[in-house]
Amino acid sequence: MIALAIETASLDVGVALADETGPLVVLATRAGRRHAETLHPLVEEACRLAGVTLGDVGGVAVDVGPGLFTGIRVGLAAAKGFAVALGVPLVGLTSLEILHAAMTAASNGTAVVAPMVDLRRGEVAWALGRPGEALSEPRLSPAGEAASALAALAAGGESVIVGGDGARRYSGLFDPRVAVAGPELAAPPVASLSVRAVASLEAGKASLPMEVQPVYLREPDARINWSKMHEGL
Amino acid sequence: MRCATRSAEETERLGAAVGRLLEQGDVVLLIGPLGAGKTTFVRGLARGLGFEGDVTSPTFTLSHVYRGRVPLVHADLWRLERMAEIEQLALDEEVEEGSSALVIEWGEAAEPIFGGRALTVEIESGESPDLRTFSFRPSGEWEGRSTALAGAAAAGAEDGTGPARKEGAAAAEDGTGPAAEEGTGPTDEGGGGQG
Repeated sequence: MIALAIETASLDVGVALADETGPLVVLATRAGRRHAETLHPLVEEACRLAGVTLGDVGGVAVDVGPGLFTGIRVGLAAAKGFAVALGVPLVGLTSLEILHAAMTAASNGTAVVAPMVDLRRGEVAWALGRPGEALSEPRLSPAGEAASALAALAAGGESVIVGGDGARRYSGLFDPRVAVAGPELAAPPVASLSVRAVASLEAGKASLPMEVQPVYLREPDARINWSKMHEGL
Repeated sequence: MRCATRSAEETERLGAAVGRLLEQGDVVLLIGPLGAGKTTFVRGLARGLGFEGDVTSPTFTLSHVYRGRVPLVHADLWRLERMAEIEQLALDEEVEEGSSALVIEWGEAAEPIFGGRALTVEIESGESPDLRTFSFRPSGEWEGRSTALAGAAAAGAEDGTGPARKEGAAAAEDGTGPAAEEGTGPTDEGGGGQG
């Protein structure tokens, strides 16, 4: 089973092909916000390097966010398009789940892992993964609040690692006892997404393409509080 | 900080003076009723950045980009009903990752997002049909630029370029001014009447 993994939820674009032995090809580049222009050439190149065609792909995986709105939309649209056109299942993982997988592997599962994604405006999306436990629900906080929560854990004697582009951007806010992962873990690593995707596909834990939804964490249900002069027209 | 303009030309010149101050990451929220001259002011911002192409209200397209000295993203929230729709425009990504400046018509709707960092410009009609008063409310780093802003307001509202001012005043007097101000609403995409 070959999985095609697509990662566009940060300023990077990543594409990987993997099978049950691990990643076959991993391509990632700093796209800025040129996700749409960058993604498809990378998919084409990944197939060429692996010596496979899209017809060999048995499942597609995508980072559903949270992260960059513009990037998430490009990745999700492309992933759904590939999955529908190829008639294969789609695996959607959050950016925090992908970071969690990569950070857990890097720390050998010995520390509390906090994936943290930059959501701009001084806020981060983050979650906590304790060794051997499932990742907590994602939460949205001002960066300083998230840093304080991690500092409290570290003060309690726990070994804590924070990683992701949120951790990089706000690296100066963290307690010295909190380890900040390096820039190689800023963007959710597409290799980790591809490996997780193969496992999910082999276990039959995939979705119909149209069931996979983005996770923005910022979708306030409120109506715009228009003033009277606007409503009157 | 307040100033007044007496014609569409003066409004555009005021916009140009503010536009010359714009840098990457700056956010300007425009508040004012239909016909207030919001799009005319934005055209001035774009001119102040050296952009000479068309500037029209993006009421239906939601946002335009004008590529001057700094890219200027021009958004219009009139058509939107829910905060989630504003979030999905990802305008914060434009200013934090896209190295653009951002101006938003019907900007009061974006105050929950940008209120802490924006220059809010409220436009109100005056006693005569062409008179507009502009109230500038800086927040965030704009607060440190109030001197430059006051200079821009003075340069825009007073007689910086004699001939243009006289043309504007003449237009206002012969009655073409009010017509020229009517193009900023969603029914006429773009305030085209102001040329």
